[in-house]
Amino acid sequence: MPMPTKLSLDVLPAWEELERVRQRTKSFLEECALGSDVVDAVSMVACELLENAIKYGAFSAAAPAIKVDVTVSPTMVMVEIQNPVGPDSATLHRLDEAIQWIRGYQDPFEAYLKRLKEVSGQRLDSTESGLGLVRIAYEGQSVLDFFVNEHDVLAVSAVHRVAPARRLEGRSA
Amino acid sequence: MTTTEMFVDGVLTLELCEDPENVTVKWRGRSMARDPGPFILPVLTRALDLGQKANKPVVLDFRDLEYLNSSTISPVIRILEQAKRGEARLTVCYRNDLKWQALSFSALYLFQTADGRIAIKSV
Repeated sequence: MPMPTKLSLDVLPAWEELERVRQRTKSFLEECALGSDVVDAVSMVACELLENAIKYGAFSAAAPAIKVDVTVSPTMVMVEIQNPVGPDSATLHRLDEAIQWIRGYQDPFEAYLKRLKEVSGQRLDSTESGLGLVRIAYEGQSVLDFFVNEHDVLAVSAVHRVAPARRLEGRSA
Repeated sequence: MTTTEMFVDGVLTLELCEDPENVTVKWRGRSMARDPGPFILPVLTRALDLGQKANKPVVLDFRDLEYLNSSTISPVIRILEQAKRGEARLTVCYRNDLKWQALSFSALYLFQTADGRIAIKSV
């Protein structure tokens, strides 16, 4: 039987969905014979992007769900999360700023360290994090991008490059 | 004597253990809450208080943790920063053979002190 190359999930904007998506993503990537390091990294990426979609999506009866796609090719794994966005452009502006800021660093590790320093100086009870996207770039070793279509649906993608030799890394025979 | 207290929030368990040498917070399961601070911070603050009162080092042991979201990292690094500015002895312990743990926790070297009072250690 050929290996699957794409996982698609329709997800309700509920926090409880995160664990289901994490488990489904892990299982799918393992079926694709990817190593445990890649499985852990990409499933984290899917969860972080899904958290953002749940937090900032503009859901309605007409647009009640989030779409999660995980696509595997011989050289990369792409996670794409789609959710409706409202007329308020502040969320998109913040997303654009965050991605541009990360791209301004040659090494996402440097961006991650800078953000860690900033967050560590905040009050103990602060609920601000802002670590999710930069963590995707550094720990998830993924390149972020996004677009908004004519139906006000935001699609955020994260591409994780996979060296062919690493596909079986971490898997027993 | 060893004293152990368990704190459970969904799929995350924090085990606060005081033995003759250390005060240890063992992390088990997955930390995925939307706002994990209100659960995590009181336990970590209590660990630091216990360590200070008994003059024992505090260990944050993440080796049995399966997953954490970025919202969990924030309260942890705020506690590290607080400890760094104070006098507490604190060690973060993680697994180097798990790449996600190695990447996530090695970056916390930022909070290490030259005298080893705050240390980030892989095993």
